[in-house]
Amino acid sequence: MSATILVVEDDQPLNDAYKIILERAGYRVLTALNGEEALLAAKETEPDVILLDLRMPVLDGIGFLTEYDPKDHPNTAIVVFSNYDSHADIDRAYELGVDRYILKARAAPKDLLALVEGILEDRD
Amino acid sequence: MKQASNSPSKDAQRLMFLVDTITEIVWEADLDGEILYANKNWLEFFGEKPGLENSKTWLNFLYSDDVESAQAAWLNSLETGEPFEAEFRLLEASTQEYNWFLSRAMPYHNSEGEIERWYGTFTNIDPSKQNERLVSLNSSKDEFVSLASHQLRTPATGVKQYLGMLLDDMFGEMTEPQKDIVSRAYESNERQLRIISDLLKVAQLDAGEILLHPVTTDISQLVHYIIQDISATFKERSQSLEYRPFKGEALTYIDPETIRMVIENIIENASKYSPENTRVSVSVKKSDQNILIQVADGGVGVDPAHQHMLFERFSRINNSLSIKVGGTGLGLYWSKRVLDLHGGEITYRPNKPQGSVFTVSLPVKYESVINLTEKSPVTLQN
Repeated sequence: MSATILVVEDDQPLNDAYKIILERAGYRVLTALNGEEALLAAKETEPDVILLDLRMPVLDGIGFLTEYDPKDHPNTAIVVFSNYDSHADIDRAYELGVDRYILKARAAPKDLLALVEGILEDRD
Repeated sequence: MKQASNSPSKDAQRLMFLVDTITEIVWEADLDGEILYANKNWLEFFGEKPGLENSKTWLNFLYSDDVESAQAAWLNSLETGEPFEAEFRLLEASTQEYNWFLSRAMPYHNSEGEIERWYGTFTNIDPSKQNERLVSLNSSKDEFVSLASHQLRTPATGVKQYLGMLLDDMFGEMTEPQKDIVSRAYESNERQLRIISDLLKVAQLDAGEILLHPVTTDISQLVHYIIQDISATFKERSQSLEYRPFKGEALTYIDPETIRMVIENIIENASKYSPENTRVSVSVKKSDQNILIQVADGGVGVDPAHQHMLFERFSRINNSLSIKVGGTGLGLYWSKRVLDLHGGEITYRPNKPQGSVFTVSLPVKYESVINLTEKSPVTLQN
């Protein structure tokens, strides 16, 4: 059974791009445009990996993490996928229990796939 | 704050809110020049609520030498209805010092054409406050650059994904010419992303937001890893990279992430500004006080006339390769600033017979080293 990835990204074209890339690689992809949608999606289906943007309307990434509490979901890997690299954000995200922090702008499609593959391998 | 005679309507409330946000002192006076209302800057500067006691008229705060001319001009305006403009010194309550102000006031006419009120402003033009104004302007500039850059990153990231998909043959194999065209677009977008990164780095630096996490670092190891990672770039350009390490530990107290970027930037420049089939030499030396990282190339070098502006912001010197190389001219400026923050230095001298020698100097630190991991000495988690 293929892994489920939840893509949380408020920019629609980027959200679409990640969905296309991951689906073509055979993953099951759920998408959310903000933290609130992400909470609902994650509740319905427990994802294997969450790619989480930070700056989003309605409920941002930190808000999502606070509500979701990664410690309650040990089988879900959370990767912050942000274009902001402030030390405050990075520290806070790690405090809240994320596994990695990636700068979106540095990740080409093959980097994204390598990242997800690596995470799933480490887990199993 | 003394209210205008009627209780303010919603519009008036909004206006007063707006007036409180600007940096000038804004006031409203009656036909006798007595203050009816002023924004909160009045209280902040004069230390008194407007319209009460001394604040019945601003004339009371004038510097003695300026009283005669300012008073005469103001009284003249009140009498004739002519707009008022003058410069004079007013007393700041908190410092008990006089600041130069530019004042302008205009009469407000009612529907019958009679003057009903005067509205005026005091703008602080004192040299002692120049710094504050510049700092305030500067930080608006940094915020703006930061905001714009982050916003620009998003669509550029999108382009990177879509072109990347095509280049990875995700939508069928492309012909060679197609791949070539799409690659050029991809590279152009990558350059855009680099420019955005540079802008963000400098805006962060200017805003004093650059957070350094210094740890005791072995420069020998750091440079070793950099050389390993960067060798692919040199292979691609058929250039050779010669490394002469320091035999032993070269300990210094630095933020490894930023210093790594500085050294990588210099070595990458050496490659970029040298033609193919040339050699770049990197060496690490240590004296009692300093660790020196030297990068020498046999490339185009820097015109003596331009050497003095090498480390200045935005200085991109025109040479035969600079059009191809691209870039923002922020790299060396940023490097110099970062090294200043570390108590280090970066210098340039020409190489013989041609080319450049850049030397980064960092102060020696005598302490036991913290183990650096095999993969990279720099991770965001440290």
